[in-house]
Amino acid sequence: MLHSLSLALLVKTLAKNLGKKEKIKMKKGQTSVEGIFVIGAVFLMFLFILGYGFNKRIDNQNAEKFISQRDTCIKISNLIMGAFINGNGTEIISDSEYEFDLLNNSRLIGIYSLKEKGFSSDYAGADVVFCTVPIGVFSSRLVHAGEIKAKNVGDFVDITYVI
Amino acid sequence: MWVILLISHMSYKKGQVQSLDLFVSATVFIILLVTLILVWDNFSKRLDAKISYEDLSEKAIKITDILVETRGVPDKWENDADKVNVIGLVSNDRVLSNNKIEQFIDMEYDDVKKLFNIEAYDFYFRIIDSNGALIQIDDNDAELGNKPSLSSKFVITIQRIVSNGGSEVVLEFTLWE
Repeated sequence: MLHSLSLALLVKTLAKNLGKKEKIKMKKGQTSVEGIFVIGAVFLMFLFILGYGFNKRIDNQNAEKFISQRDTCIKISNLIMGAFINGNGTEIISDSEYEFDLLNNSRLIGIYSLKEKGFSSDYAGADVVFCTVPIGVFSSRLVHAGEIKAKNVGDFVDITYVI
Repeated sequence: MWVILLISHMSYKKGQVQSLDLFVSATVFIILLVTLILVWDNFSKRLDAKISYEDLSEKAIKITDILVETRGVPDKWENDADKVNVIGLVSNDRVLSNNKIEQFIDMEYDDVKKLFNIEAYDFYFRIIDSNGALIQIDDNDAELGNKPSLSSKFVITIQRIVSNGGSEVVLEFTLWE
């Protein structure tokens, strides 16, 4: 009886001491190496996603701008075609959101990312979206954003900025 | 199933980070992330392909419009095909001119591509009757250019009904890349 009682006491003491040892090993607020590793990995992952998302956001903005400029380019190209196909004397009024260049030698329309008249350096630094026209019978010039007029004079299309 | 079995066999202390849990969740997360990145990149590629396709169809429509709705520049370009500026194949709106077609199908393929500003593409032009047979202009088949192959990336065919000598025929213009 006495023997079993002392054994129980020993076990209790041991358990208590073990508990103390555990408490000494892991203080409150202390984190393990694995914990630090996990936090680091999650943080790195978060940074990667943030960077990737930011990059994609810029890509989307650029794509949006490109599509808007391309739409204007097709609109101007259709304007030239419409004035040409409808024959001599045709006049069409339209508008452009962007500044654009007409190049009849290369049969290109270049749409600048500028929405108002700028200096030469502004045009040089602007993003340009090109589209083609199947005909070269139009005037070569820089046309400002706003209301524009296409006029067919003797099967030659003249595009001018309406003041 | 094995994951559930493994989890059920493990007894963890309160608050302990479980390496298997972490491994499973990290794997699922990485798979989702990679899928998201791939889908996103695929959208960009599809947008580029759509733009190229629209570009091609827009060019094909405009060229066909010029062919069937204008006489060309100069008006009588068929008299001196070397000085042609814009090729038109009609004498009146949608009424074909045999002289113009004859000159057109005799022209060099590359010259026509240059005139239409489509050097980057290939084209095939033909005029067919209501049965789909090629019509003859001065004993020559009314066709010009190269037919698209099975490996062509994009192929756009525009058909326009026009009048030729009082009967209705189909002018077909195929632009391909």
